[in-house]
Amino acid sequence: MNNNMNSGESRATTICPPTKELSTANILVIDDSKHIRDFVSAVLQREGAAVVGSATALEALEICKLRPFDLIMVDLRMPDMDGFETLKLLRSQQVAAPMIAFSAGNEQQKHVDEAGFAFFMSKPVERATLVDKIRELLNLSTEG
Amino acid sequence: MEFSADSFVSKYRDDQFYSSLLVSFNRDLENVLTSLHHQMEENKVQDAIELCHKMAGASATYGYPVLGKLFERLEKDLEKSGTVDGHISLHLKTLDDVCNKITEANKELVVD
Repeated sequence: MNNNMNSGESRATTICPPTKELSTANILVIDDSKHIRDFVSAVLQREGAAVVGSATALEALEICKLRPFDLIMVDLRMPDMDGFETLKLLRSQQVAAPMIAFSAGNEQQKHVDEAGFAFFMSKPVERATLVDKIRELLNLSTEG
Repeated sequence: MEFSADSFVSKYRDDQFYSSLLVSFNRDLENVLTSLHHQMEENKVQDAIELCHKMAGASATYGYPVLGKLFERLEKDLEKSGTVDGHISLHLKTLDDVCNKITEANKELVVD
C-alpha cells in the first residue's frame, strides 16, 4: 500500500459516513469538463451509484450545503477555483466525505497528499481503475 | 505531420458502454474548435489554455490519445508564448485537421 492509500485509509476510517456498496453511494463529481462529468457519471451510475455533477467549485459548495455525499471527486484545475481551495472550503463547511483529486497532470501528487485528498487519479481516467479505486475507498470507510 | 489511421478512431469504439458518450464527444469537437479559433483571433490566451487543458484530459479519457497530446502541446505552447504566434497557428491547423479526420472516421457512429 502506498502513501497515498494510507492517507485515504486514515481519512476514510475517521470521517467518512459508512457506505457498504458502490450501489448505495452518493457521489459528487466536480469538473468543468462536461465530457469528464458525463463519463464519470456513466461509469458510476452503471454500478448503481447516485451521481451529481457540478461544473464549478462554487456550485459544488452550494450543492454540499443542501445534501451529504459519501464521496467527492474534484478536478484540480478549474477556472473558478482550484481543487485544493475547493477541498479547503468544503472542509470548512463541515463536509466530511473523502475526496478524490483528479487532473490531466500528475505533477501535483505531493501537494495532493498533503492537502488531504484520499487519492489522486490522473487523466485519462480508466473505467476499471475508477470503479476499483472508489470501491476500495468506500469499503475502507466501513472498516473500524 | 502524419498520423496513423488509428489516431482518428477511439480505442473504445467497439465498447458498447462508450457508444453514446463518443457520439456526444465527437459532435462537440466542432464547437470546441470554433471556440478555440475565436479565442485565438481575440488573443484570449488564458481562455484558450483552459479549453485546451480541459480537452486534453477529456480526449485521452475518451480513447483519443493523439488528440489529447495535441491539445496538451497547444496548451503548453500557449503558456510558454503567452500570445498567438505563427507556431501556435500551425498547431491549431494540425488540430483542425485531426478533428476533421476524427469526425470523418466516426460518421457512422450512432447510438443504439
